[in-house]
Amino acid sequence: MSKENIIVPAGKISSTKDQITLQLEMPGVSKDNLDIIIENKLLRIEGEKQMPDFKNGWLHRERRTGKYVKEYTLEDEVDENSIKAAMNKGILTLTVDIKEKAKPRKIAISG
Amino acid sequence: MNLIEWKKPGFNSSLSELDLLQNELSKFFDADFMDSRFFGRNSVPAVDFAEDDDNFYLFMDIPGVDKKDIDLTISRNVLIIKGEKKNLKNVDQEKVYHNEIWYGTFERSITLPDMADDSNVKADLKDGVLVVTIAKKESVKPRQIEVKVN
Repeated sequence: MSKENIIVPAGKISSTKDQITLQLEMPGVSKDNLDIIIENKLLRIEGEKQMPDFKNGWLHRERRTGKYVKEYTLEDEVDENSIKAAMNKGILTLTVDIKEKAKPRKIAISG
Repeated sequence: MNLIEWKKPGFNSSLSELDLLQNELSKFFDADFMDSRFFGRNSVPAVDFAEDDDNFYLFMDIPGVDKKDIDLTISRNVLIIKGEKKNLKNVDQEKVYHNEIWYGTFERSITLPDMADDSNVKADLKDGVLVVTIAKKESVKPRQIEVKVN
């Protein structure tokens, strides 16, 4: 097999006070062709873009082919056991909970 | 002793370096500013076009777009795909740290080959990829001709 192209998917990172949400655009990837691996605080997302094989039937090509790959480092503030993933319309959404002790908290003033 | 003007190998033009630079800059400003290289790299979504014996196929990457936000029209062999990619709803008190995802409207028109049958078009949206299948006219499909040997 020839060397595979790596596509870096466009992403969005946002958070609320309880959760961090990560969205990655991976058109052509179904949930069966997606791998999410966590190892030593490293979150690695790989998705195989499904392309039909037209051999000589391609008349014009602009779409990128290959494999989507993106990596993130998980900070101590997030609970890596809480990661949830959903694939919808070519967008992967991952959510991870922020650990209780890392959440902003109010300090009461005494006196 | 004669002095011979030094020229870069393969540099036969009478233009000076400065003129060449000016040309490059002019090219930049002459470029169409709607070109995807400059703005909204996704506002003109990338398409692939292919054929087999029976059909033409168009593939367009439009992650996050709803079926109801796509408008496909076909007339006189021109296929127009219009759509809108809506921003995903913002959760209350959400902070966005980093965003590379593009939102907005997009449009692309594609002239179909003469042998496309514009009355026989199907469209399907799967995993963020729009697939439009356009049948070939019966008359142009490859067919087997039986040879009779007497």
